[in-house]
Formats: sequence, structure tokens, C-alpha cells
Amino acid sequence: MKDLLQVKDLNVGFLVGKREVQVLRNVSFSIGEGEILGVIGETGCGKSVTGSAVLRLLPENALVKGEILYKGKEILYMEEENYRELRGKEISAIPQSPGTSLNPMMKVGNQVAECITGKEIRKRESVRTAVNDIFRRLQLPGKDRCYGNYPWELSGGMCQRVLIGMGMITHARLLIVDEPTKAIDWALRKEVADILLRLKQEMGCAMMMITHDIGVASYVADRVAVMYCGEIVEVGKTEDILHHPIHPYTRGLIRAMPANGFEVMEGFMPSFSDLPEGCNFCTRCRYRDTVCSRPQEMEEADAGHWVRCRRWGEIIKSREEQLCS
Amino acid sequence: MLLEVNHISKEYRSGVIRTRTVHAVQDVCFKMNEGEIFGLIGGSGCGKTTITKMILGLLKPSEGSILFEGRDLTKLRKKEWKEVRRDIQVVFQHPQMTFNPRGTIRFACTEPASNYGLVKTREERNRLAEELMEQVGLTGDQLKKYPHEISGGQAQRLSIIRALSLNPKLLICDEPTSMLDVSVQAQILSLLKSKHREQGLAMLFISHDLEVVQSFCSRVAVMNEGRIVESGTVKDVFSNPQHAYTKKLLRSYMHY
Repeated sequence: MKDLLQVKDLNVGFLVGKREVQVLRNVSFSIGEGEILGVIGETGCGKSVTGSAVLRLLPENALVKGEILYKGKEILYMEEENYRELRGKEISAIPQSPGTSLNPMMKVGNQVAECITGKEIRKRESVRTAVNDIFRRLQLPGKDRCYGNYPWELSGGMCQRVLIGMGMITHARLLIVDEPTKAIDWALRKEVADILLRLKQEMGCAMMMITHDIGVASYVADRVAVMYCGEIVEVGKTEDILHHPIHPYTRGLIRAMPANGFEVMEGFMPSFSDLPEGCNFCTRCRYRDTVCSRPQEMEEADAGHWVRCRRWGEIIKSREEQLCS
Repeated sequence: MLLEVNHISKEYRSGVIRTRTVHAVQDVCFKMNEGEIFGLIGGSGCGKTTITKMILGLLKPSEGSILFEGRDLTKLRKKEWKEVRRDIQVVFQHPQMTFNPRGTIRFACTEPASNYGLVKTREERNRLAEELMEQVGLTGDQLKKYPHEISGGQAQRLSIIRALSLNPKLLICDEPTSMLDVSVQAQILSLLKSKHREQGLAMLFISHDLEVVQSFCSRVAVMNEGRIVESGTVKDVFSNPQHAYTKKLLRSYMHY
């Protein structure tokens, strides 16, 4: 599969006063054409910052280092004017929290139309049909009547679909989807997941799906990256990561799922200004050893299954022993 | 029988000339035993929260009665409510919004106990605050903080332990984990479970998360559009759903 997006050694820090707080550390991943990469992790682990970095929407006090390639072309240091050509048309975003991401004073149809009127000057009528077309594709109830609704007249799930419409109306090749299922109820969650899957199948759209919902990630994503404290700790095929996790953090996360008996992980995620030396997870890890106080590198444990833990070999062995006994 | 909800309904009327009536809750009945965890599931807007508000006496039902230990809650006077509220406590979905933003954590977590005169002097209050913090794995220096300075998971654990400081018989949990991460959710659920085991606490657990309900509750009722469409033990409802809505809900279960 050809890589659509490549992120290499991305480092992001924020200037707080005169001090730099480093948030992302050597984040590297790639997304192939038409592939969905799920990024999972706890609140505040840097998932959304990664998404914003790709979109170049970080605030001004951010210090960014590294490389981001889109279709082989460097986009991180590109002129803002050139990047604007890409953003929206090629790389598009679906923001989180539909309740607050829409303009309450503006009809939802016009908000979606805004995305194309600036870019390609078209007749008002054809813009309107394009928007209605998207709404119909997303199966928004009420058909064309939805165009004239205000966000507060629609339910949470409908607002979420309007946001998805905004992201896809330009037929972008890459979508950054931030927490699509946060705070919506169970039946809608499946619906949104199905819409994302359909988008991928019908339009061949690649996605970076940021979520903390493991159920959705396993349903939608082709590959999954697990983030902890601003680092990717494990990345690989969805099946491998969720059913045969190696990194102790991923294993803890899976065991904390209610269906698995909500086992509690020891300790809490440390703050970014107060990280332990070496492996970020070492203070909470039950496999802790002396090698853990040294910096950890990504190592390939299995074909396409990378993990940032030096003790992966021993962990796999102990897992097999557990299975045997 | 700890709680008996008998045929309660709630309707909202709006408008003067052309009145519109919305039936938020219609003819809901269920019973809870002592020390039982009862789940109530349903989509957003199906009337789950309206029911909790009626049990708490924050809303008056249009029809029906709610019996708590044999007393009809719909006929209680304000003074009597004060006694009953000690036995019925609640945990809401947005923990940070239930704390007074201008009071410290110390104030927030000792407020129920001092309202009921369980702690009188400042020393007693401080001791209680530290005890409570210890129970949920927080350190004493958090006590000086304000609600916006702590994380959602910490706030939720505090609001649980604060509700439990009165030793209630019934704890109503209104979507206690829907805003939280999986790992934090596990902390909250195991805290609730351990209190359930230790104190025989009964819980009305309201959620739309089937996975949580399945692993946490013993009996469950499914709500849709203001009515209970199906109820039974978790095992029966989840393995052999009868009503179309329950089947639809279960189809949206995303196994991983």
C-alpha cells in the first residue's frame, strides 16, 4: 500500500512562560491510501495535538520539530498559502463535540456550503444541491429540509453528521476525525461508525481516527496506534493490538474494559512536566526492570507490529506460559 | 423492598393557546431490593434522568407513586425530605458541575456530613476530609484545590465518596462514567463495586453503555420513549431480548 501520510519523529512542545513543556516525543506513523488508523489513548496523552499538527492548526506557542510528508511532499514547513490549498481540499478534519463546533447563529446547510464556496466558485444553486446530496448520503432525516435548520434544532447525532458532511464535502483524500463518538449514545455510536466505514469504502477516504473508545476503534480501524504520555507505545494491525497486545500499557487498557472485568491499572498518568526517566510507563509497570530506566526505542515484535518496550520478548513468553497453564 | 416505582408518569405542557404536551415518562413501574444493582438503559432523551429526578424529589410526577421503604416520596413534606435524602444519594454525569466552583475540595467533600450535623468542629471536618480522600486514593494536598483544578476522574471519585459519607441505602448513579476514559472508568466501577460489597449499598445505575451495564448490574430495565419496554435479569435480557428496541440496541453492540 502506498503511504499517503508519513509522520517522522514529530516533536511538539509548548512554551509555558519561559519553559518548554514537551508534549509529543518522536511520534512516527504512516497512513496508507484508503486506510483507517485509529489512535487510542487516555485524555491528555497528545492524540489531538498530533491531529492538529498534521492540520497545522497548533496555537502560536507551539514548537514543532520533525517531518510530515503528504504524498511524499513535505508539508510541515510549507508556506501557509500553499498549505491552505491542501487543507480542506486534500486533508480535512471532523472536529470533536458537535455541540460546540457548529455556529449556533447560522443554518447548518450554509455552514457546510461555506467549505466549498470559498474554494471553487460555483453557482449558489449547485452549491445547495451538493450540500443536500451530502446530507442525503449521510441519511440525515428530513431530506432537504435539514439545510435550513439551526444546530440547536438538531439532535447530537444529527449535528455530528453535519460535521462529518463538512469534512467530506470537498472529497478530501485524508480525514482527521477527532473523537467522533464522544458523548453520544450507544445506538448512534454504531451509526456514526457505519458512516465512517461507508465513507472509506465508497470514496476511498483515508482517516486518522482519534478516539478513546476501544470498541469503535476495533470496529472501524485497519490499524491502531496506542499513545501514552505523548509517545506512540504500540502500533500494528487492529486485531494484533486489541487481541494480542504486548506493551504493558495496552494490556492494562484492554483489561480495564468492563467486559474484561474492569481491572484497575496501578497509578495515574504522570504530568508532562514530571515524566519518569526512560520508559514513561515504568513507574506503573509490573514488568519493570533496570533496562526500563533507559530510553525506549520502537522495536518490531511481529510483522508490522511495533512496540516501544525493551522487554517485549519476555512479556510474550510470560503470556504464552499463562496461556499454557 | 427498598424502592417501588408504581405507574409514574411525567408530562410537560408548553404554550398557552395551542398547548403542546410532551410525555417524558409514561407509566413506569419497577422494584428494587435492598443491596441490588439495578440498571436502567436507553438512548438519550428517553426519560432516564427524569425518573431519577422524580425519585430524588426534584420533580413531581404527574401521576403515580414512589415508595421508598414503604414511604410515599411523592407526598413527603420538605422537612421529611431532609431525613430521606440521607438515605438516597446521587452521583451525576458531570462531576465538576456538581461542585460549587468557589468552594475548595475540602468544603465540597465535607458539605453533606456537616449539613446533617455529623461533623461539628473544624478538626472533625478536617479529619473526615482526609479520611475520605484516602479512601479514593487521593492525597491530602488536593484538599486545598478548587474543583476546576482536578481531573474529571478525580472529581467523579470525590463525588461518589462524598455521597457515600452519609451511609445512604440507595445510590443513584446517572451515567457516572460516560465522560471518562476506559482506565478511569475502571477505577470508578471498582470503587462502586467495593462499596456495594462492603456496605450492601443498593444502586440504580443509569447508563447507555451496554457493556458497563452487562458487567456491572444484576437486573436491568430497557427504556424507550418514556416507557420501560423490557426488564429482567441481565443474563436474560442480553442473551434473549424480546422487544424490538432491545434487539436494536444489542445489534449496536460493537464487540472488539
